[in-house]
Amino acid sequence: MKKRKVMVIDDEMDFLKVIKLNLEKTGNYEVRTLSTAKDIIPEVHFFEPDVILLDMLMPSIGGLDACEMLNNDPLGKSIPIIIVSALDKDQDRYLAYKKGIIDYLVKPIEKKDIITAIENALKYKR
Amino acid sequence: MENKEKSKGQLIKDLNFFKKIGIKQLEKLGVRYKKVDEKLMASEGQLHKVLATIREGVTFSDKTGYFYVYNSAMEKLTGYSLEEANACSDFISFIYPDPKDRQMTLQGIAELLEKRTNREIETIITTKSGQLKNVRISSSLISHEGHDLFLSVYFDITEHKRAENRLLVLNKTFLEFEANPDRNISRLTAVLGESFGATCALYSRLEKGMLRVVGQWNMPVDFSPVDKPDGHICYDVIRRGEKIAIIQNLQESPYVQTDPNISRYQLRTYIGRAVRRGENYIGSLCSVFQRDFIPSKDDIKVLEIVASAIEVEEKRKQAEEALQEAYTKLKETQSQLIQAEKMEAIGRLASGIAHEVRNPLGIILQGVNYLEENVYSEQKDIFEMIQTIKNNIKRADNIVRTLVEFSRAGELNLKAEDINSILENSLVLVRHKINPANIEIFKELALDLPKVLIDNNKIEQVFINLLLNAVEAMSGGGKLFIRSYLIQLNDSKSDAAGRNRNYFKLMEKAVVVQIEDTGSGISKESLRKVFDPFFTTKGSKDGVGLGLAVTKNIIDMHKGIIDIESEAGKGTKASIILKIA
Repeated sequence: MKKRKVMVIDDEMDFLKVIKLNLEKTGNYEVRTLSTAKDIIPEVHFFEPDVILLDMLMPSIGGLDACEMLNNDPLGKSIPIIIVSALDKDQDRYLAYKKGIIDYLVKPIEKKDIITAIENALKYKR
Repeated sequence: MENKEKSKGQLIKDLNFFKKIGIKQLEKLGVRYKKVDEKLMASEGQLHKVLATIREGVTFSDKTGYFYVYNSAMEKLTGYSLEEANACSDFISFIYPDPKDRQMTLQGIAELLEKRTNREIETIITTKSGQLKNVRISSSLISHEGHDLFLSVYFDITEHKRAENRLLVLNKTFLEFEANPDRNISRLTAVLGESFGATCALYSRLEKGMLRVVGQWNMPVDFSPVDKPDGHICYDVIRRGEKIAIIQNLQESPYVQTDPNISRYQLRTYIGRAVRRGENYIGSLCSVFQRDFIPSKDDIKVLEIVASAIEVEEKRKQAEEALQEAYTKLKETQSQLIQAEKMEAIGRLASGIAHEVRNPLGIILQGVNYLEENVYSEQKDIFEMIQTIKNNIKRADNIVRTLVEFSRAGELNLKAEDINSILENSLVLVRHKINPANIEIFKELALDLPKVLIDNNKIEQVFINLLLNAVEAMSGGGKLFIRSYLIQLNDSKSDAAGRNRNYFKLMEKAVVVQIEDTGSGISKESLRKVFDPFFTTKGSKDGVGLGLAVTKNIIDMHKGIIDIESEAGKGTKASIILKIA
């Protein structure tokens, strides 16, 4: 089975490290991590991910801005986005859903829940 | 005694003398009558006629007090006839029973005899019926065949004095006015009662559907200060806005059936007037009498003055009440704002801590997830250890969640409320800002909305905040849309983590309130920061920038959602989504 490509964007380097290890260990995913959303568009064009895991609160470009950038890109807007954030207010959830995300996960979250969310998202093409 | 025996001939002789000199003297003394033709005055009869028509009392007497002339006006004034006056040996004692008045009169006579110039005194006489009358007496001395004779003219100044006294009392009352309008009204009521010589006087105001006594004078102690208005004369006077209500023979009037005070206190006469506050008649001022009383023109005037003064006090009271109310409201708003700001700061701190703690927890959990897959099944102790770590990650997560929720809950007073009426209420409170700004309001409020579970005061604060922002954004006028409607939340396409901690569950229905303006809008840059505390686009003079941060915190406390969409130059749309009760 062809590995699905997952791009993870989070400013927490340790989080990127553990999630990459966990997802790749399943043998089903190829993971590329970014610690900032600054170059998200060229990175998306380069990596062509099947799904994007995105943090909300990041310095300079936040999750909602990153969504906006993706939405304005012909390739970017077709990729399902899952928010993985420590913010858990409905307020944040609402604003994210308005940007067209597929799911909103709140840290701390179990690996199996992330995988379920990814698998759900993969069924859905934006 | 000898005087009484004076012959009629002597009397006629005196009168002839009077004919010659008296007229001139009378004129000098200011008796108001036109110069009469000498021929007309030629006879004694004509003279009597003249004296009879003079309104002032005129007397012509000698030192012993014997009256040669004593006209009908004098009879009317004193109640004594000429015969009665001459029959009593000490007439002065009769009409001046008060030694002080008598002394003054006698001193006047003495001075007149000594200085022989015209004298004028003001004194009080007592009539035959015992009535006191204020009089001004002008006297002059006339020598006739070696005798000193007094010509006196009596002016009745009782009414004048009474009016003067009333003015003095009124003036004194005005000068002694206090800050408290009700107390001034009470004094004014007393002035009316005293001035009328009434049995008692009353000013009552219609308050919350009841007739409440505000000012009273001489009222019986068992008089009820608050009563249902129906059937009371005062209530009818107020309802009809009567300028002057005079009811005589109260015992025979229909009110005797409806107003229990009439028979209870045997009232016979009612004189009252409606008092208004602004456009509305709200009170009635009245005097009641246990006797018959017909008010004079002056009495009506006094009633008018007192009622007008009460109207001024009522207006002042209204202004004072409005001021007090505004002050209380301001204080309340201020303390609410301070409280809201405090809560906002605490909420922000708690959210910040939660975020900072959850991130490492997320990493730990992912790390533990990694480890547990690398443990062999027989290493039970390691499994247990991993489970313990995971349990404690959840525990730490719960602690920060509780902290956030506790900080948000604040002192919410949640009740199921109708959002439209709160919206309307808020609108009333900012009307004063909307009206002069040339802003058109479009209300699109959905009927039959389900009730929302909110703290009425706090949500009102949110609406006021948003409305004021909208108005400020439309300084050059514009359109203000106020909407409310029901939605179903169905944005989520997936619920992988099965999050039951969501405030809004999938497909849950919620109420949306939207406030949209066609104002200056917010730039994209600013829009990102609108909820940051201390962020403001206004000068430091107009705002410190807590408005929307506080607004958002209140919505957070309600576990609601606030969404602000805007485009610079086009306008702003603020939406608030609230849980259904």
